[in-house]
Amino acid sequence: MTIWNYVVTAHKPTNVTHSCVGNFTSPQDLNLIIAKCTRIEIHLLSPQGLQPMLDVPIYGRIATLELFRPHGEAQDYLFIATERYKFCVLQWDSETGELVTRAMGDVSDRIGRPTDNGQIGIIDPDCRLIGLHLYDGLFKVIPFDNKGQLKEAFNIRLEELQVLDIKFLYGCSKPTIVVLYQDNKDARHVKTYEVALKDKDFVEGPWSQNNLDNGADLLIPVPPPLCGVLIIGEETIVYCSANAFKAIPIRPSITKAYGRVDPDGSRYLLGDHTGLVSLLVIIHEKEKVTGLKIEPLGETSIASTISYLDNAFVYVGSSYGDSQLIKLNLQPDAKGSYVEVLERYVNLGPIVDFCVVDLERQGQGQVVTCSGAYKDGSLRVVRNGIGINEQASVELQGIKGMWSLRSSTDDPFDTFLVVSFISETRILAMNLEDELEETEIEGFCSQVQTLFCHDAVHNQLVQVTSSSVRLVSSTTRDLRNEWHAPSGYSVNVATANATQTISVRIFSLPGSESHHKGTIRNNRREIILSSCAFEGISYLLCALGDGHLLNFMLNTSTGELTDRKKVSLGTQPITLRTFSSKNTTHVFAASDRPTVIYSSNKKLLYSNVNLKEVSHMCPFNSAAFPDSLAIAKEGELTIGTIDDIQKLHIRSIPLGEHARRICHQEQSRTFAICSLKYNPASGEDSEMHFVRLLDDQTFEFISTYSLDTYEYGCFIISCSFSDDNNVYYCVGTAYVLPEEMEPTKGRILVFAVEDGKLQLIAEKETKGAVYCLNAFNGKLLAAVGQKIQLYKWVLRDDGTHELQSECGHHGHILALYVQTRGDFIVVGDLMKSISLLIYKHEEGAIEERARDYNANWMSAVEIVDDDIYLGAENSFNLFTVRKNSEGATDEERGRLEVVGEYHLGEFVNRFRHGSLVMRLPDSDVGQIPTVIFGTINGVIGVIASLPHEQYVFLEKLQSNLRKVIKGVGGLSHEQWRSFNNEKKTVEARNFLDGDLIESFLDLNRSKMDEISKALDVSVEELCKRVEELTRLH
Amino acid sequence: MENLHSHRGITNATTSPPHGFTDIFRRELGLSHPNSFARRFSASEVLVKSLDLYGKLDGHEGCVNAVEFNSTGDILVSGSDDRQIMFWNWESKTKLFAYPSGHTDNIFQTKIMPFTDDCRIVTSAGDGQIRLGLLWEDGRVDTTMLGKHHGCVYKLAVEPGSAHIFYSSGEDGFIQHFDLRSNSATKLFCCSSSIGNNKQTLSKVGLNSIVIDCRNPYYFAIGGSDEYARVYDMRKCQWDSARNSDRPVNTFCPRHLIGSNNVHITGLAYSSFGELLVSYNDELIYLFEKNMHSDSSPSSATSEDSKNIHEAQVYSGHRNAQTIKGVNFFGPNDEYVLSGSDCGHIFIWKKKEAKLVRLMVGDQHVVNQHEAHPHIPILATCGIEKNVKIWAPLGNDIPPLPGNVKEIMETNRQGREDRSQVTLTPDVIMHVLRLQRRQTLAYIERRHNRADIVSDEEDAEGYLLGFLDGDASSEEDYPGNSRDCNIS
Repeated sequence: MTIWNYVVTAHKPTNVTHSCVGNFTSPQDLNLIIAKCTRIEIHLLSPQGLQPMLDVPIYGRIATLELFRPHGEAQDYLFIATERYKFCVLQWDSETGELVTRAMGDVSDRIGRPTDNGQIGIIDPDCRLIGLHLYDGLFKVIPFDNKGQLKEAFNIRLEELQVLDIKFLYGCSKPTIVVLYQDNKDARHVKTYEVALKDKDFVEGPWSQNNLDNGADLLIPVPPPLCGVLIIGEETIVYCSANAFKAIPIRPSITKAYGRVDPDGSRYLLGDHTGLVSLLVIIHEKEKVTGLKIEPLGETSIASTISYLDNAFVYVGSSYGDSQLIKLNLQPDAKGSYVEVLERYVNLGPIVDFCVVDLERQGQGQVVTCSGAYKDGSLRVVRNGIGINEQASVELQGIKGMWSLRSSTDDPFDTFLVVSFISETRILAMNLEDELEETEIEGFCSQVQTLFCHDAVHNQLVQVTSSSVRLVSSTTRDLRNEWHAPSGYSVNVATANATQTISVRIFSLPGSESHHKGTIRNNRREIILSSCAFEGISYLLCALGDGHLLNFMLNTSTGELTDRKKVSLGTQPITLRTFSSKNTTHVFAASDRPTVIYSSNKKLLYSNVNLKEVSHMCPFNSAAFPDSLAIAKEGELTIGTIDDIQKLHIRSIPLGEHARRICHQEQSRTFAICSLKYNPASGEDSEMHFVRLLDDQTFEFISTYSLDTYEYGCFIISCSFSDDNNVYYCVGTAYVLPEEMEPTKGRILVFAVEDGKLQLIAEKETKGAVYCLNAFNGKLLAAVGQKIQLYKWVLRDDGTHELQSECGHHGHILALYVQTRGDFIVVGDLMKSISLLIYKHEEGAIEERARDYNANWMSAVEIVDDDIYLGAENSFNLFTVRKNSEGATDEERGRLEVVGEYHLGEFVNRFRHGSLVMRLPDSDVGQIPTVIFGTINGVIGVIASLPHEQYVFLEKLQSNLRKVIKGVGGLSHEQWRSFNNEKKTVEARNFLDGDLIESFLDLNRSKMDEISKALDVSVEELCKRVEELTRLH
Repeated sequence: MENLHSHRGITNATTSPPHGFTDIFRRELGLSHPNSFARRFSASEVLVKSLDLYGKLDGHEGCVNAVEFNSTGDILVSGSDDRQIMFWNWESKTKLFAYPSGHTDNIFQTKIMPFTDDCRIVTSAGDGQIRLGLLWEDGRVDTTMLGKHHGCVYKLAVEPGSAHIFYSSGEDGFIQHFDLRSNSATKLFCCSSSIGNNKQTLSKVGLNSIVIDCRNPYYFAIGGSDEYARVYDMRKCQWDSARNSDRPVNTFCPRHLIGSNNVHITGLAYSSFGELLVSYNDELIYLFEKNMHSDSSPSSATSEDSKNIHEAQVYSGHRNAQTIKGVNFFGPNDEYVLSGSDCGHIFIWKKKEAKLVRLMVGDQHVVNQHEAHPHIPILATCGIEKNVKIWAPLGNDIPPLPGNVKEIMETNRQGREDRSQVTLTPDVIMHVLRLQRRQTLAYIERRHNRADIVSDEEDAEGYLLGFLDGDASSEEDYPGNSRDCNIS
């Protein structure tokens, strides 16, 4: 039993919540800044597209992201406010390429009701003040002084309670806001207020407008010369100012995002909830607005934010599909769309369900998620490591080395593959039929092992053997020249570029020393690959015989080596080979744990390849197989292409509909999903709900069962029953009638997969929504509304089976999440946290054994072990509770004790046991149990249960890292991770932040030394321990 | 180029009515902010209809008159006729500790001063005292008297957000201001009203209730022995304290009760929208919307002329005759109105439509006070019995309204109409309370036998008929103006 948990992000948030455009990194730079809830990305718009400049975590959920320019400044500043009422102002330091905090603070109030409709943060266009709407009835003002410094904040009472949007108006001599609000009778209005800074109060503004579209939800302030505001409703768009009121009807839609096109504010892009982008034009004559016009442009992902960049380039940020970089063309395409998608950026959010499966039977889990929503719904297959797509293979034993060669210096493709064995060398080539066949290069010595080959200038090839270096014509294949090793010596290691060959001879004489500062120990079987440049930075990589890799920063002018780091890549000798993929340099480390080394954001990253025991590898860019690699493993030579190089590889399977629940069935090699399809073609939004069967390799729909009208699929599992050898899919549904607040009817459907089709075997009606199903003691356990119900699978006289109710347990508000282990049942209630039930076989009864008395609004539960249960709740926190079987009193035994609390900052929809990585039996972390979670923002994370000693050690490391690593904007990591909901805020306990701990590996050496000294543990030991943790995900 | 501002995140589409099931799925998509979801779900009628008895907190040896949750909602504080203050862990239904308040009469109010780690408790009682209980970490409690009224003090009001300042209203008609930092008690003014056509004669209004508008904390409302709820501006009270003048900025009264000599206010509540809820004895409950444009009157002599005559929302079905009953809002956005009743039931209506959505059996005869949990839909009630009852949404399949709800309401209506000609004074009320205590011995447990409700109603009616006789005799004992308070 362990109560100590390590929480780490395997995949960062991908849901784009905010974006803005301005001159942030320099007055001449055009920057796109993107917020993904807890991270910000800064991009530079260049002729080549969006160039990433910075990607940093924020210790908070971002509620506001705004660029503004204080008086007299040439560059924009960035204002960020978080949902927990912290704010900061950031500036870019051009010299260091870092963010500088200009201001920071806390704008929380002791009393006040947090606003229901989302926090609002806005900045006066003339930079006189920042306005915040955080609590009902209050508008907080942070004034600027003449020099652009922030002064003390104060509150102004706002009469409007149900605020939908607030914006600052342009062109006002006094700072003026426009407020869109809903009154007690649910009518919507706008009114304006001037902010009187001296009096710290509102003054009635220049105009107001009553009785707007009932779906009015969004205000767009219009800059000079037109000024005024646009009010976007579901059926109407209104332009309103002191001088004009113009309205046009629109096709019913919910506009979620907008971006201004022109500095003069005459054109806007609007994105709605179906992914349609329209151009809204304010028609005007000489600064007088005469009308509005809207024109559909085409389809994009469903936009949560739209940023117009430059020259008709637009960034579409999305929460429900992939974000996109699009170009607006002047002429429509064949389908009538003006939208051209130039780039897609992966978004896994919202992850509403996932399963963990080993699709390729490699001993490593892959996460298959239900991602996206509406038309942008998809399945995503998320796999750790890089896959090889095999194109050709041949059986070959005893490969000692491989090199690819071109048939002439100017040929862009490789032709020859030289394969070296202990006592011979063989040459393979692509023939005219694009097949790999053995051939000869007469100038090569084929009776010995080749140590090295390379192309050389002037249509020549180089072969290095232990006794000679041979220069061969690549056109005639004849020997041109040969250098012989002196008698008694042999060549051990060689490398070359196009013009020279270098041999390194190892002296075993005492007194031999390295010429440079870096120290190399254990120098047996060294392989050195020098001057490897990633992203413009030179590194020296040294592969050691024991499976470790050393890397140094290399100063190419002085030869100085700094920033020594050591990484374990296995236990066998490593061979290194550079190759290029997508015009980027990578290094393939071949060993018992093959790894690709690459650089991202000026950081070396290591990603494992999904192969075992790769002994050698070389790039093989042939005409038949472009950008391929040749890989030698035990007994086999394979040529294949490589997946995109990243830590997690994501395969997208667009569905065109919204998958809500997913389950895998190994026996039938299928997935089953509950999905719904939106059909906007009919008058109003109508939905159709399905249970669909998919092939688990191709993800094609192979069978579909349509649910009834108003019937929703809520849950799906694969299970079998006592006394029945078949495996079934069981689906829980709910009938969602418009007049019912809560469903009073649902069904449990039992399907078998026969001949690739879903066959309905049995169905059972329920008195409520079936929120969850579990296989339990050879029976089926269902969460039906307020009850837990146990069904047994009973054979009827006619030979068919049916579900028969055995017993139940009631008293829940809504039993939404159920997990089982043995005879124990853990229930996550919508409002009443976690309870533990037990099934008593003899009595055929389910009883409550214990529960957590805190009123947590649950979003996911999981059983960690027999006594520890994990929960995620509504305010983005994780907590663990423990069963107290040895308590002295009934009350103590009846209470689940809270033993861990942590603010994750993410809304978790699902926990699943499993691992994203191969579990290696020789590894220390291989024995650590892990739970994977998926969130609304597309985060995939891992929670690992640690032994106590490891936890204590890492807690000290985390504590020291907090001192060394400061949060962006002065935000505090300790405050960020404190458990927080509307009732209380308490320090995090028994949970560690793996993201912070693993950032130790990114520190420079001096900071590492600082922490090493504080902990009295060597840097090498610290790196080793932390590096092992990175192998958890 | 100028900044191109993006729209923030995702706003909620608020056009469709809330639906619990679809809301759960919207929450997992991020379409609904989780906190908004929790509030909407807490306000759902389904949840209110499922409220049922979660437990009883037994320990007091007298009627419980005051209940309050602390700000985090895990502790409940109660005050009783036994003059004890008790702290409860309501979730596990266990008593944490108790201390003697120092009061010499029944406790009517307990307030936990916010931002004090629940260590300062202010209390008020029938002895007119306002007392402070100071809780030390080692378990000791020091109690001191802060101030005194001549007459019962039924209600205290804590200034929102303040750990130090609160106000009291007493049967002597005075409003007092307290500051714990200086241990000072200041009489702000005495509430008075004119009688008949002679505007030169002022009469004290004995006060039963005081509440502060959390939307505008300068405003507080008081109600008592006449038909008007009065709203004052605190800033003006403090300026005028030397002159002891009474200048409400607003007054509320249902049109048909203006000039009534036989009604008084027993409870007041402000909603988060600034609406004022007023409960009258042997009358109904009225909701007054905030009048933004009301002007304060230059003098009390004309305050009645400026009174607002509103078409108030009306809540009916209950009976409020025998005690100084509170009235309250319920729900995260005050979606419901809550009152106890002489018939022993707890009534919950929807605020907007005044529709009765839940009726619970609370106490044998009278439910007096009810307090909502600060964060979740949990209710604490107390009344004629010696315990506090906790109500929570439970998954039991019970009908929200009992089968005989019409009979219950009709009986209450008849009793109310029969009483409309009878004058009640605080002394009569106390007499009734003393009678009630003797009847406690005859208490019959009705929790487990709903069929008994009808017979219990018969018993109650018989008892009420007996009361009518008693009232006649009490009139003989107390001749003279019924509104005079003997205390002064």
